[in-house]
Amino acid sequence: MRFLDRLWALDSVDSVAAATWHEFAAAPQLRAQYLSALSHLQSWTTIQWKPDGIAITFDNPGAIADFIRREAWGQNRPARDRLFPSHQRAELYELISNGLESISTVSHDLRELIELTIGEIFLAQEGGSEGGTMSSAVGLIWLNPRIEWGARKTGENIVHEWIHNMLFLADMVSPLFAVDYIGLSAESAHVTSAILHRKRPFDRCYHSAAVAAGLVFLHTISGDIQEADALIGPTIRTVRELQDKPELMTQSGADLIQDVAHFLETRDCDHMVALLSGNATADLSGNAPAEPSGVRLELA
Amino acid sequence: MTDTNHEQLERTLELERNLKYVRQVRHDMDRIATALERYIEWHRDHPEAVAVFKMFLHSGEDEV
Repeated sequence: MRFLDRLWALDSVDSVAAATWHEFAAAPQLRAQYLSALSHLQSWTTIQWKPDGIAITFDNPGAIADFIRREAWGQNRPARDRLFPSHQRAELYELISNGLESISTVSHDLRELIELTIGEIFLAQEGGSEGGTMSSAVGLIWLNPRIEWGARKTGENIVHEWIHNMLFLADMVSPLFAVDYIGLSAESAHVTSAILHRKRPFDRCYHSAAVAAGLVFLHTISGDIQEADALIGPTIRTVRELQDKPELMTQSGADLIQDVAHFLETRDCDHMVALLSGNATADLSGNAPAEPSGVRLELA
Repeated sequence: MTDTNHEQLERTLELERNLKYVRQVRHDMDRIATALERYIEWHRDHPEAVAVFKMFLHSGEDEV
């Protein structure tokens, strides 16, 4: 799957930076060049990235204003009511740090890719939501964490939101969809969501399938086989429904979802681990490797 | 063919291969820059069209 492919990620990040600054970045500057490019391009919002790692923040007036303006957040609540009180912040900061650490424990390469592509994890309260990602704020993850999550669930939620971010990156460098959001939201474009199990707009379900497949990988390499199993059936159904509407995807979008389908069929986590490390080439043909190995599980 | 001619031919071929590679990279960069520009302009000009992916509280389900 492209979003777990280290070489694809590096190439895409490099492309965004080079297209913005008209020069190729040296490897040590790649992250800074990419995140500064995102800040420059998305002039309507603010990413408070720092050069030495992911910034964990408790206020971001620019992002809050934009989330409200774009109606991603409700408009009736004052911004200050969304901020976590100061006495909770140290504990929440530690929760997010531990969540990132739990990702490192499972896959250091995955943590590195998240570090490369995410500038800020912004913590804020919004009724009814545990967090989210917006196509207009690439490079930023918003979380509404609770201490009860613990490190593991926090890590899972970071990976979840990161996959949305990577799909936006994919869409930036090579569009995934062949029609605009009006076409994707039309009744005729609806398919069954892998996670909510009901009909949703095409792009929502496309993201849900990719996120679910990414979580199947994460759960499997973490040893949470039952959680991985539970996602397989609904996600395969969503992928099939997506593939039944090829006219809504570009070749790039169709290739990505075919990679998802191939992974769900094979559950070849060894190949994903190799992609994450940069030691494998993406199998664009959709065919199984000649001698698949590693963690392979039967469908639930 | 003399050794010198052979070396010149090899060098010419290598230069052509490099030029072809540079042209391909430039073509790819132009394509990517165009896609990136469209993505950014779309979000700048259509604030109502932002794709929002929320995780719901309690259920842990994703809006998608």
